[in-house]
Amino acid sequence: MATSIPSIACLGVIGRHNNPLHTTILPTTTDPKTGAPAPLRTPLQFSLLLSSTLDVFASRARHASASGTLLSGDFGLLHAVDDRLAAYGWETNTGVKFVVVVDMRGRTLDRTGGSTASSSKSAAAAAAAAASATGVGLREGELKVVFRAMQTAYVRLLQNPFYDPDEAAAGAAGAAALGKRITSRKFAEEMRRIGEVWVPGSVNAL
Amino acid sequence: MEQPFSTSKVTVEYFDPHGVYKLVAPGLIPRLPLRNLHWQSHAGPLRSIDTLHIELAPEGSIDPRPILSPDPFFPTLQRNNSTAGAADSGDGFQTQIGNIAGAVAEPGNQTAGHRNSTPARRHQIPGLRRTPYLKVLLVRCDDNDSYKSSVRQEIRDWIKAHTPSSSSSKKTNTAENHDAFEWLILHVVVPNTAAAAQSRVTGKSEAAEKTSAASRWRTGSSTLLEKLRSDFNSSSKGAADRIAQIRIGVNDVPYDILPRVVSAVPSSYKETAEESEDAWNDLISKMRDLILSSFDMRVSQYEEDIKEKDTQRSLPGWNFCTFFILKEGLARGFESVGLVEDALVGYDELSVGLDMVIRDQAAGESRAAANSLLDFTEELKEATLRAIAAVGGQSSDGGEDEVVDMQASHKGGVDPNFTFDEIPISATKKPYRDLILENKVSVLDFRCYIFARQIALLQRLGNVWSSREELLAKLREQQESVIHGVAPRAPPPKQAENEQEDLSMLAEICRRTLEFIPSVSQVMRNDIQAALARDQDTKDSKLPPVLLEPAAGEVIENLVSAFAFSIAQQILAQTETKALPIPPSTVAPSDGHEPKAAIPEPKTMMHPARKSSLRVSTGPTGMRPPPSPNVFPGPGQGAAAAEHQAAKNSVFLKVGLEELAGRRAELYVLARNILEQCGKKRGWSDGWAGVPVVGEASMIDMVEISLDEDSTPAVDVDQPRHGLAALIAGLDNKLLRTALDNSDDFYRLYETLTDKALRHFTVANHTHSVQACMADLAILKYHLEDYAAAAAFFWRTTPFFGESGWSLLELSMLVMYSRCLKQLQRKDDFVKVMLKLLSKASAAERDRQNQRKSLHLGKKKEVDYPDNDVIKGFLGDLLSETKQLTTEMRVPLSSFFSSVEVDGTLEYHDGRDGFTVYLKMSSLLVDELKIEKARARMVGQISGTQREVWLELSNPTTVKPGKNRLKLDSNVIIPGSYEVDRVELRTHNLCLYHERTTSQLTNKPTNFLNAPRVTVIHRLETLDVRMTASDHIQLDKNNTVDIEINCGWNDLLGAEIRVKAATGGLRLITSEATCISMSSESPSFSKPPEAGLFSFGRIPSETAIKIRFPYTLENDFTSISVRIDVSYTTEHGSFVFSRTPSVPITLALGVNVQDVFKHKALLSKFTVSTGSSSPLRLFRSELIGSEIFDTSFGLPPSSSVLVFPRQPASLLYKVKRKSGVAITPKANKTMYLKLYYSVTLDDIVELVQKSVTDALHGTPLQTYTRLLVEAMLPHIEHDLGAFELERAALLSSFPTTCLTGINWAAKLGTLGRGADGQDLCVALGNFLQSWQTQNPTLALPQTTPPEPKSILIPVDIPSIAIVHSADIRLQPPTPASLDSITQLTEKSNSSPALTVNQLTPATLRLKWTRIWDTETTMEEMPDMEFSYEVTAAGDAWLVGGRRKGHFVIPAPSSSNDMSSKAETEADVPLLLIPQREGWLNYPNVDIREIRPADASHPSAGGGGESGGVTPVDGGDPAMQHCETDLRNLGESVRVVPDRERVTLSLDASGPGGGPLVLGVEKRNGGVGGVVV
Repeated sequence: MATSIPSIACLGVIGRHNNPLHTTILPTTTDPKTGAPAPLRTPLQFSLLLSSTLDVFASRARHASASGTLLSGDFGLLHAVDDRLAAYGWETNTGVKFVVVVDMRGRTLDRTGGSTASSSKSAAAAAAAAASATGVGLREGELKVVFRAMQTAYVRLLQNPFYDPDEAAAGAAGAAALGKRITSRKFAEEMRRIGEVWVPGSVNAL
Repeated sequence: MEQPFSTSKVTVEYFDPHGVYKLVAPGLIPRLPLRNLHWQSHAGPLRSIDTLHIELAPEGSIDPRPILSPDPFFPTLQRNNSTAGAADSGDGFQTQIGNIAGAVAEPGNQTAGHRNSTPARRHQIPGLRRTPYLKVLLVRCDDNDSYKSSVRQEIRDWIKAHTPSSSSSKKTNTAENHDAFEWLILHVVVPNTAAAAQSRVTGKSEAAEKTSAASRWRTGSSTLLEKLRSDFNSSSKGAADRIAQIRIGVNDVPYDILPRVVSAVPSSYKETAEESEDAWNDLISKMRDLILSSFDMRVSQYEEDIKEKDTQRSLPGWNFCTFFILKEGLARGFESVGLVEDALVGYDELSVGLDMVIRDQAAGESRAAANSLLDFTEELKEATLRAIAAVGGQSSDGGEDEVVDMQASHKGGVDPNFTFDEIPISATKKPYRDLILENKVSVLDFRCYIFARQIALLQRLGNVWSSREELLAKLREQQESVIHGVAPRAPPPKQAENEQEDLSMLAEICRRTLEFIPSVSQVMRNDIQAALARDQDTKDSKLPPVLLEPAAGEVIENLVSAFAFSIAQQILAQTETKALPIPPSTVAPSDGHEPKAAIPEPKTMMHPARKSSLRVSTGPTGMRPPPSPNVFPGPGQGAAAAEHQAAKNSVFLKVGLEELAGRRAELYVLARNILEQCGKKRGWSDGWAGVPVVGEASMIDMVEISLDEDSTPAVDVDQPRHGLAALIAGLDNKLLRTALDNSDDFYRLYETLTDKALRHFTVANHTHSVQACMADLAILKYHLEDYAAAAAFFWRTTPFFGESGWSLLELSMLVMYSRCLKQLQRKDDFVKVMLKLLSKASAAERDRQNQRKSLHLGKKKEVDYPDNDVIKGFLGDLLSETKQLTTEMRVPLSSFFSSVEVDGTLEYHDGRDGFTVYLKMSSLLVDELKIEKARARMVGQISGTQREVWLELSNPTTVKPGKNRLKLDSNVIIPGSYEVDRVELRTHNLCLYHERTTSQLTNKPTNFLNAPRVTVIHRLETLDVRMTASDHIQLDKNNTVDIEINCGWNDLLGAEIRVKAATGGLRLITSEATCISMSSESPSFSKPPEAGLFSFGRIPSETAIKIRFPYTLENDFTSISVRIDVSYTTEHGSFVFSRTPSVPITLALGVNVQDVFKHKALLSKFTVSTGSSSPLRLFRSELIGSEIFDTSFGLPPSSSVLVFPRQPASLLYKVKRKSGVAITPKANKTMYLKLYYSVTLDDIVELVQKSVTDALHGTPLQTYTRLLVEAMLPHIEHDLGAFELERAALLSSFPTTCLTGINWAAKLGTLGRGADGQDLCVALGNFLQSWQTQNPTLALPQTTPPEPKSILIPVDIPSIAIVHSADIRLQPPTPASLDSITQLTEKSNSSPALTVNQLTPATLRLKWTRIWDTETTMEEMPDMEFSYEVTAAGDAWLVGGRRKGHFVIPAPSSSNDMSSKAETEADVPLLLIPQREGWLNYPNVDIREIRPADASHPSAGGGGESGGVTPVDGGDPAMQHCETDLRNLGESVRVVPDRERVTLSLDASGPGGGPLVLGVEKRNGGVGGVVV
């Protein structure tokens, strides 16, 4: 049987006012009928999931500010959704939150279908992936590279003079207007790439 | 560290050969547990143990083998235990909480079962064993004799048997040290014995030396206690005292044991209460010290061992299991004395160590076989195989039966082997430690064990209710067993334990569980897979491999799910606490559903209900009244209320409460998600799959999602029957299995779990999660078609997600919400929600469009968005609903349309007067919208007033998605520049409107309504209304204005003209209006004009009507404006035309008159000047005589007269009194001066207008003639100054150069594009330019127009009572000497020449006439008296004669008496002497009226020297009737000197140095002489 290793099911960027800025959903399972890759949940459910993580962000931030800890903004595991999905979070110091939903069995690592997994990873990463496949689970630190990459992408987006983060953030502040989402194609592609490339144990920057 | 209520326990073994334990126990047990122990650890601070529970065990009851799990082969035992702890959590989970310690707590039974099977053996690596820390020998020794004879030896034997060979030798077997213990001898003194009679110490009351003597001699005189001490206490200094004595009171001994009173002991020693207490304290403290010392010994031994093992880690053959057991032993040791945290740290380290080992193993670097863990768990494998077999081999009935008979099969032991039911995580579930020791543990088991231990420790740390309860029960049991029958010697210890549970620890449990479940699921999955793989590799499976693959997958899934679910359940049950207030359920059960209580709850059936005072379940008692389904919970209710409640509770908020609630909620959610996953396989969707997704590509980067997953039921049908079995096989959790039994249960459990989570989240203040749960519930309800409940949830959640920008969620939920409402027939809400939905969808669409615009600039790609299909058709629903509404729904237009643009080009209708405005609007709706009515308002500032024009849609139009053009017509023609500021679309009761607020800047780019200024022009062919001030002005009458209406091409069926003054103070006298026929068939008023309203009947086309009516003006204005509204009907409909023309009313010229009265005639000189800077051309003039007067003029000028501002024209008329006309009061005396003129400026304007019109004629731009002219004229009027006008008038030509250099395109406003696509403004500008170049000058007409303007000025002749004529006539004799001169002068004129000082006689002739008195009739004329006076300057004349005089003019008796006749004229002789030479004016004659003094003026009349008359002052206005015509005025007399010759001496000898006159010769010869 094929062993399965975690892969990213969903990447979300949530703005300062808790407004969604970007969501990328990656297929981590196969459609039972067609056999085509399909995401584990519907986009709506992912949205709901991302939204629910905000509470954890809030409560942890409260906690952190009370105790004066937590400098890195890494919130680690936010939610264990079920035995497959888990949400990890990271917050920048401007209040933008990155959420990564990991499917613990998102990728199969077997002889035939290992193309996705084995294509772009080093031996160490493979070993780590195998290790996590055996049930040690995902360590929180392993997602740091993802968050770093997401932040880099976001910073690049901010460097674009035509992107106005205030406009994007104005959503909740202005009563009626919906928050503007990130519409940059480049950003979306970058997110997708991050989601696809990452395997547990990646140490190099994505 | 300081646990208020420690749950740790140590074992103390007692040996009771004499059966005295039951005597001691009543006193001992209440004094337990031990309190305030302090232990100095080797590496770390002083640890203090508050309480240490002691388990007193009789000898041999302790199984010295390592602690093992309770035997899983005795499930009945477990069941008994679990049922014993019956309690109801009121929870979704009523899993039996783990009686982890409970199982251990009955070692008697257990060991009994075990002794034989597993003999206690020393393992090479000893784990921590439950060996006693302290062994107590209870000794009964009634007297010294028995001590000597038997007891001493007994004790010796015991010590030899039970203590290490030499307690002093530390260097014994290390294994011994792991079990290190201490011992204690307790002498129990039974009353009524000799021993009881002894005092504790000999000679207690006597001298001290006796004691020493006793010790010296060791005689029988020493007490038993002393004997014992000396015999058994170690002699070394530091050794502990191991002897204690307790005396039992008489009353405490049961009668049957009480020995007979020994009479031989008379001096019975009575122990006081204090001493007894001291004795007990002594015992307790000894126990404490000894326990600590043995503990210390053990810990140091363990630590040493661990250190040693740790260093060997890298060596080959190092076994983790061994290390584990060792380290765990330490941890257990810590735990057993209550140092739980230390224990937990140990386990945490072990967990990490395990991870590393597994990782190493996976990486293939396992160094030794000893280190490897099993790949799979045997039991699990069996369970899997069995499940697979159940799927494959048996019929589907088997699977079903299994479900039904679950309970029975368990009891029957059919399937007892491996189950995750109840308590999956328990350290006592399997003999884990054995397995570990034997290196036969699988990864799964290993992890489970560690986790179980961690949880257990955390539970203790958290002072968990369950673990504490059980311990308390134990304690109570202990006490009760003692108490019963016998009165307690000591009061039971106060249960002063802090009941507080440490919530943050509970939260920590949940947190760890949340991390554990995913990882352990993975482990388990691998485990099973490995097992199956091994199975297939080694031996051929009994199952056909074809079946295996899919079935196995299912079974694995099921097993894992069930396991995870069970863990969640267990932890939830274990972390249940009273301290966590959970608000009542917010699940609103609707009326339509039977209450949940009616359905037997699966959980209560399956699990013994745990009693709890905190009942928040949805059960019958706790159920709150269901809200009416038709009533929305108010905003204050529901979630808000729950939150409020939570906030109130937070006054008592404990540390970690929120966190615990949040964690628990997450666990619930996790369990629910597992359930949902399982349900999905069975085709029971939670509804999310079927949720319509309103696409938002910008938000979610979607990846080939096919959304037609809600066809799962169909899949279910298709599946073979065994598939169904496979779905259940392996689901070993009862709750899960029951839930998956049928869909009702499934949904109920799903809902319950979600509701639980929701409530916990509420407490935890996790708003987003609360909303998410609500959304889940809503969707579930929606899926289950419980629309009322779903609507209520949707109502709460939808705005939340909308506010924070989760519009994808919001849209979908709105879709469902609206469907719910539709089902519920709640029309109002439905409409509201639908509007919201549609507007949100539109907003999303707009975003998408914007994005597309920005992204694909220039790329034209029409992408079809299939996602919008879900909201397709909603519009129709909405409209049909709104039709039934009574009130109108007003919705901003911007909700549904992305932009509205007004096309600048108006389309004018051909053949009629209306025009059309096109609105370009792009609809964001996915459906077509049929618009029944549409209106737009244009507003413009036209001639100073705000005018609005409404544009209407002529016939219903369908608005398609995307771009549309809406054609709005208007029949109202009000020329001017407009802006559309309001748009309304109406269909049924739905009104989409847009209204631009006045504050909004029009040029803001984000403005929704993009409305350029449009100019409504007044075409040449259309009906026209013009107003002019009338050409003929009569100054003494009201001025009139002419309104000229030209029908143009309209064949009017009827018209109403309404005029209204637009200038303040202007009053139109419309009742005096006349209709001036321009032609013969011109119509006239169909009705007499009413106030401001003229009505006409049918008017054929190309007809002009002129209406003239006068007006009055209160104030002076240079121009007046009148608003004229024409509403008329043609065969094309009714039209309205309106304009407010303004006409100048200043007079173009001014006339002054100067009258000169003569005796017979009046000369009037009219001075005509211009009224403005423009020159005038005066064509003709006439003075129209009146009844009395006749006028005459000289020769008229041959051509017209130009009047310039600085050069007025004079006209002189001679007026004569008509003879024979008597003056009557009615006689018309006024004459009129009529002037025919033209103003040069007007000429120029007319000229330009005509020229332009002619130039335009026949060109396509002809229709814009009026516009052009109206644009040009202000320029001409404004730009032409006085100089230009003067020049034009002089040169009779007008240079058009002043019209160059004007940007006509800008002045014309926005006209849009013409037929050829060219901007009309530009075209017109170009035309004007070319016109100007073709006509550099325009010649002003020189001919007199046929009907020039005229003005009629009334001329009144002032009434003068009397006009006098005074005439002075010089009378010769002219001296002869002057003849020559006279002759000279007389030839040229008649004025005489006089010499200086010549006496000249003259006659003053006074005449008068009354003919100019036009006011008084002849009869009324009185006699009048006048005085005259001749005055002259003194240096000019000497006047002699009668210089002053009076004369009386009698009242006329007839008309002949009106003028003086010869007899009534006066000739007054005068003598005039000229005083100097030169031309001298005649003397002046002053005539004044003298009034007779009347009686009323006594002062004036009294003593008047002039005969009672006073001259009338000229200032008296009433009498200023007389005018004097001095005939001599302007005449002069030449005076010459009378000398002929003068002789002068030219030296300066004259007087004053002047010339000396020597002689003068007078003119009258002979007289001459020399005057000195």
